[in-house]
Amino acid sequence: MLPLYLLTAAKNQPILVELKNGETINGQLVNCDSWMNLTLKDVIQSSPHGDEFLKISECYIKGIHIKYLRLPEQLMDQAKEQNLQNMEQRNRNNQKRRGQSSNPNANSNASANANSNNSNSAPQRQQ
Amino acid sequence: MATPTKKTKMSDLINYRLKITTIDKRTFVGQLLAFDNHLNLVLSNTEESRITKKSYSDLKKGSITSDSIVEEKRSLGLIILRGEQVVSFNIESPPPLSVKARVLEKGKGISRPLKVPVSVKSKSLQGPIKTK
Repeated sequence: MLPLYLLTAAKNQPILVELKNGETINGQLVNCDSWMNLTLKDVIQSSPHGDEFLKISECYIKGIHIKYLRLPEQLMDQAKEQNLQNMEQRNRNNQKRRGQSSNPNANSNASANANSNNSNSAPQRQQ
Repeated sequence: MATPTKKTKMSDLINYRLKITTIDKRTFVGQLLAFDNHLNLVLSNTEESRITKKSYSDLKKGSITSDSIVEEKRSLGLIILRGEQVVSFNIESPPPLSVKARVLEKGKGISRPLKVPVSVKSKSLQGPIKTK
Protein backbone atom coordinates (compact mmCIF):
# COMPACT_ATOMS: atom_id res chain seq x y z
CA MET A 1 0.00 0.00 0.00
CA LEU A 2 1.78 3.11 -1.27
CA PRO A 3 1.38 6.51 0.41
CA LEU A 4 -0.35 8.02 -2.62
CA TYR A 5 -2.71 5.06 -2.80
CA LEU A 6 -3.69 5.77 0.78
CA LEU A 7 -4.27 9.39 -0.18
CA THR A 8 -6.66 8.39 -2.96
CA ALA A 9 -8.49 6.26 -0.40
CA ALA A 10 -8.98 9.42 1.69
CA LYS A 11 -11.27 11.04 -0.90
CA ASN A 12 -14.37 12.68 0.59
CA GLN A 13 -12.82 12.52 4.06
CA PRO A 14 -11.68 15.47 6.16
CA ILE A 15 -7.91 15.99 6.10
CA LEU A 16 -5.41 18.49 7.41
CA VAL A 17 -2.56 19.71 5.22
CA GLU A 18 0.48 21.53 6.51
CA LEU A 19 2.32 23.52 3.87
CA LYS A 20 6.03 24.30 3.74
CA ASN A 21 5.37 27.85 4.95
CA GLY A 22 3.62 26.51 8.05
CA GLU A 23 0.09 27.33 6.99
CA THR A 24 -2.41 24.62 7.78
CA ILE A 25 -5.41 23.83 5.64
CA ASN A 26 -8.39 21.86 6.90
CA GLY A 27 -10.91 20.54 4.44
CA GLN A 28 -12.67 17.69 2.75
CA LEU A 29 -10.55 16.02 0.07
CA VAL A 30 -12.27 16.11 -3.32
CA ASN A 31 -9.52 14.83 -5.56
CA CYS A 32 -5.78 14.23 -5.75
CA ASP A 33 -3.23 13.14 -8.35
CA SER A 34 0.15 11.45 -8.54
CA TRP A 35 1.95 14.76 -7.86
CA MET A 36 0.02 15.08 -4.59
CA ASN A 37 -1.86 18.07 -6.00
CA LEU A 38 -5.13 18.33 -4.09
CA THR A 39 -8.54 19.86 -4.45
CA LEU A 40 -10.45 20.46 -1.24
CA LYS A 41 -13.85 21.81 -0.34
CA ASP A 42 -15.23 23.52 2.81
CA VAL A 43 -11.75 24.74 3.66
CA ILE A 44 -10.41 26.56 6.69
CA GLN A 45 -6.95 28.01 6.17
CA SER A 46 -4.92 29.05 9.22
CA SER A 47 -1.77 31.15 9.29
CA PRO A 48 1.57 29.74 10.52
CA HIS A 49 1.12 31.26 14.00
CA GLY A 50 -2.52 30.23 14.23
CA ASP A 51 -3.81 33.78 14.61
CA GLU A 52 -5.63 34.26 11.32
CA PHE A 53 -8.29 32.04 9.83
CA LEU A 54 -9.83 32.11 6.38
CA LYS A 55 -12.90 30.23 5.29
CA ILE A 56 -12.84 29.14 1.65
CA SER A 57 -15.45 27.03 -0.14
CA GLU A 58 -13.04 25.40 -2.59
CA CYS A 59 -9.30 25.27 -2.84
CA TYR A 60 -6.50 23.78 -4.97
CA ILE A 61 -3.13 22.93 -3.43
CA LYS A 62 -0.05 22.24 -5.50
CA GLY A 63 1.58 19.09 -4.16
CA ILE A 64 5.08 20.54 -4.09
CA HIS A 65 4.11 22.98 -1.31
CA ILE A 66 2.99 20.22 1.07
CA LYS A 67 4.95 19.31 4.18
CA TYR A 68 2.64 16.64 5.52
CA LEU A 69 -0.97 15.49 5.53
CA ARG A 70 -2.97 14.37 8.54
CA LEU A 71 -5.53 11.70 7.79
CA PRO A 72 -8.42 10.19 9.76
CA GLU A 73 -7.17 7.47 12.12
CA GLN A 74 -9.47 4.72 10.80
CA LEU A 75 -8.49 5.33 7.16
CA MET A 76 -5.80 2.65 7.06
CA ASP A 77 -8.27 -0.11 7.95
CA GLN A 78 -10.83 1.21 5.48
CA ALA A 79 -8.25 1.33 2.70
CA LYS A 80 -7.06 -2.21 3.45
CA GLU A 81 -10.61 -3.51 3.38
CA GLN A 82 -11.31 -1.72 0.10
CA ASN A 83 -8.10 -3.11 -1.35
CA LEU A 84 -9.08 -6.65 -0.35
CA GLN A 85 -12.51 -6.27 -1.94
CA ASN A 86 -10.96 -4.98 -5.15
CA MET A 87 -8.52 -7.89 -5.26
CA GLU A 88 -11.32 -10.41 -4.78
CA GLN A 89 -13.36 -8.75 -7.51
CA ARG A 90 -10.37 -8.83 -9.86
CA ASN A 91 -9.70 -12.51 -9.12
CA ARG A 92 -13.32 -13.34 -9.78
CA ASN A 93 -13.23 -11.49 -13.09
CA ASN A 94 -9.99 -13.21 -14.09
CA GLN A 95 -11.43 -16.61 -13.25
CA LYS A 96 -14.53 -15.83 -15.30
CA ARG A 97 -12.42 -14.77 -18.25
CA ARG A 98 -10.24 -17.85 -17.99
CA GLY A 99 -13.30 -20.07 -17.70
CA GLN A 100 -14.80 -18.54 -20.78
CA SER A 101 -11.63 -18.73 -22.86
CA SER A 102 -11.06 -22.40 -22.00
CA ASN A 103 -14.65 -23.47 -22.62
CA PRO A 104 -14.77 -22.94 -26.39
CA ASN A 105 -11.90 -25.38 -26.87
CA ALA A 106 -13.60 -27.98 -24.72
CA ASN A 107 -16.90 -27.53 -26.51
CA SER A 108 -15.43 -27.53 -30.01
CA ASN A 109 -15.15 -31.32 -29.95
CA ALA A 110 -18.59 -31.80 -28.44
CA SER A 111 -20.67 -29.88 -30.94
CA ALA A 112 -19.96 -27.71 -33.94
CA ASN A 113 -22.99 -25.61 -33.14
CA ALA A 114 -21.75 -24.55 -29.71
CA ASN A 115 -18.32 -23.89 -31.16
CA SER A 116 -19.68 -21.45 -33.71
CA ASN A 117 -21.58 -19.59 -30.98
CA ASN A 118 -18.51 -19.30 -28.83
CA SER A 119 -16.27 -18.23 -31.65
CA ASN A 120 -18.70 -15.46 -32.45
CA SER A 121 -18.77 -14.16 -28.93
CA ALA A 122 -15.13 -14.70 -28.01
CA PRO A 123 -13.65 -11.76 -29.95
CA GLN A 124 -16.14 -9.40 -28.34
CA ARG A 125 -14.86 -10.29 -24.88
CA GLN A 126 -11.30 -9.65 -25.86
CA GLN A 127 -12.08 -6.11 -26.93
CA MET B 1 17.24 -6.13 14.44
CA ALA B 2 17.55 -2.80 16.15
CA THR B 3 20.64 -1.67 14.25
CA PRO B 4 20.66 -1.47 10.46
CA THR B 5 23.40 -3.26 8.53
CA LYS B 6 24.64 -2.96 4.95
CA LYS B 7 21.98 -5.40 3.84
CA THR B 8 19.07 -3.62 5.52
CA LYS B 9 16.46 -2.48 3.04
CA MET B 10 13.80 0.13 3.48
CA SER B 11 11.17 -2.62 3.28
CA ASP B 12 12.79 -4.36 6.28
CA LEU B 13 11.90 -1.32 8.40
CA ILE B 14 8.16 -1.52 7.83
CA ASN B 15 6.22 -1.48 11.13
CA TYR B 16 9.31 -0.21 12.97
CA ARG B 17 8.98 2.94 15.01
CA LEU B 18 11.22 5.51 13.37
CA LYS B 19 12.42 8.96 14.31
CA ILE B 20 12.47 11.14 11.20
CA THR B 21 14.26 14.47 10.99
CA THR B 22 12.88 16.93 8.45
CA ILE B 23 14.39 19.97 6.71
CA ASP B 24 12.67 22.35 9.12
CA LYS B 25 14.49 20.60 12.02
CA ARG B 26 11.38 18.98 13.43
CA THR B 27 11.33 15.33 14.31
CA PHE B 28 8.51 12.89 13.70
CA VAL B 29 8.33 9.67 15.70
CA GLY B 30 5.91 7.13 14.29
CA GLN B 31 5.36 3.60 13.09
CA LEU B 32 6.24 3.19 9.41
CA LEU B 33 3.32 1.69 7.49
CA ALA B 34 4.32 2.46 3.91
CA PHE B 35 6.80 4.32 1.71
CA ASP B 36 7.38 4.93 -2.00
CA ASN B 37 10.34 5.86 -4.18
CA HIS B 38 9.94 9.58 -3.37
CA LEU B 39 10.38 8.52 0.28
CA ASN B 40 6.86 9.68 1.04
CA LEU B 41 6.11 7.95 4.33
CA VAL B 42 2.91 6.80 5.96
CA LEU B 43 3.32 6.95 9.72
CA SER B 44 0.83 5.97 12.39
CA ASN B 45 0.61 7.24 15.99
CA THR B 46 2.96 10.02 15.05
CA GLU B 47 4.33 12.55 17.48
CA GLU B 48 5.94 15.71 16.17
CA SER B 49 8.47 17.56 18.29
CA ARG B 50 10.59 20.63 17.78
CA ILE B 51 13.06 22.58 19.85
CA THR B 52 11.69 26.03 20.66
CA LYS B 53 13.43 29.19 19.41
CA LYS B 54 13.94 30.35 22.99
CA SER B 55 15.64 27.08 23.82
CA TYR B 56 17.97 27.56 20.84
CA SER B 57 18.98 31.06 21.89
CA ASP B 58 19.40 29.98 25.52
CA LEU B 59 21.65 27.17 24.37
CA LYS B 60 23.74 29.63 22.36
CA LYS B 61 24.11 31.89 25.39
CA GLY B 62 24.98 28.89 27.50
CA SER B 63 22.27 29.62 30.08
CA ILE B 64 20.93 26.04 29.76
CA THR B 65 22.62 22.70 29.20
CA SER B 66 21.82 20.24 26.43
CA ASP B 67 19.80 17.98 28.75
CA SER B 68 17.38 20.71 29.80
CA ILE B 69 16.23 21.62 26.29
CA VAL B 70 12.52 22.34 26.05
CA GLU B 71 10.82 20.41 23.27
CA GLU B 72 7.37 21.31 22.05
CA LYS B 73 5.47 18.14 21.23
CA ARG B 74 2.16 17.44 19.59
CA SER B 75 0.44 14.26 18.60
CA LEU B 76 -0.57 13.93 14.95
CA GLY B 77 -1.80 10.33 14.57
CA LEU B 78 -1.88 8.95 11.03
CA ILE B 79 0.08 11.09 8.57
CA ILE B 80 1.61 11.06 5.11
CA LEU B 81 4.96 12.81 5.29
CA ARG B 82 6.14 14.17 1.94
CA GLY B 83 9.48 12.62 0.91
CA GLU B 84 10.94 15.98 -0.01
CA GLN B 85 10.90 16.97 3.67
CA VAL B 86 12.88 13.99 4.92
CA VAL B 87 16.51 14.55 5.88
CA SER B 88 17.28 11.43 7.85
CA PHE B 89 15.78 8.87 10.14
CA ASN B 90 16.85 6.39 12.77
CA ILE B 91 15.18 3.44 14.40
CA GLU B 92 13.38 4.35 17.59
CA SER B 93 12.20 0.85 18.50
CA PRO B 94 11.37 -2.48 16.83
CA PRO B 95 7.76 -3.18 15.79
CA PRO B 96 5.42 -2.95 18.79
CA LEU B 97 3.49 -6.16 19.48
CA SER B 98 -0.07 -6.17 18.28
CA VAL B 99 -2.85 -6.48 20.88
CA LYS B 100 -3.55 -10.06 19.78
CA ALA B 101 0.07 -11.10 20.18
CA ARG B 102 0.19 -9.51 23.61
CA VAL B 103 -2.96 -11.32 24.72
CA LEU B 104 -1.71 -14.67 23.44
CA GLU B 105 1.57 -14.32 25.28
CA LYS B 106 1.53 -17.04 27.96
CA GLY B 107 1.81 -16.18 31.62
CA LYS B 108 1.90 -18.38 34.71
CA GLY B 109 -1.65 -17.77 35.87
CA ILE B 110 -4.47 -20.29 35.42
CA SER B 111 -8.13 -19.54 34.81
CA ARG B 112 -10.72 -22.23 35.48
CA PRO B 113 -14.47 -22.27 36.08
CA LEU B 114 -16.11 -22.58 39.51
CA LYS B 115 -16.94 -26.14 40.59
CA VAL B 116 -20.48 -25.16 41.53
CA PRO B 117 -22.12 -22.41 39.49
CA VAL B 118 -22.95 -19.25 41.44
CA SER B 119 -26.56 -19.35 40.31
CA VAL B 120 -27.12 -22.79 41.89
CA LYS B 121 -25.42 -22.03 45.15
CA SER B 122 -26.91 -18.67 46.03
CA LYS B 123 -30.52 -19.58 46.70
CA SER B 124 -30.59 -17.42 49.76
CA LEU B 125 -28.36 -14.64 50.86
CA GLN B 126 -25.20 -16.02 52.47
CA GLY B 127 -22.01 -14.78 53.90
CA PRO B 128 -18.72 -15.48 52.20
CA ILE B 129 -18.00 -19.17 51.75
CA LYS B 130 -14.66 -20.75 52.39
CA THR B 131 -13.52 -22.92 49.52
CA LYS B 132 -10.62 -25.32 49.36
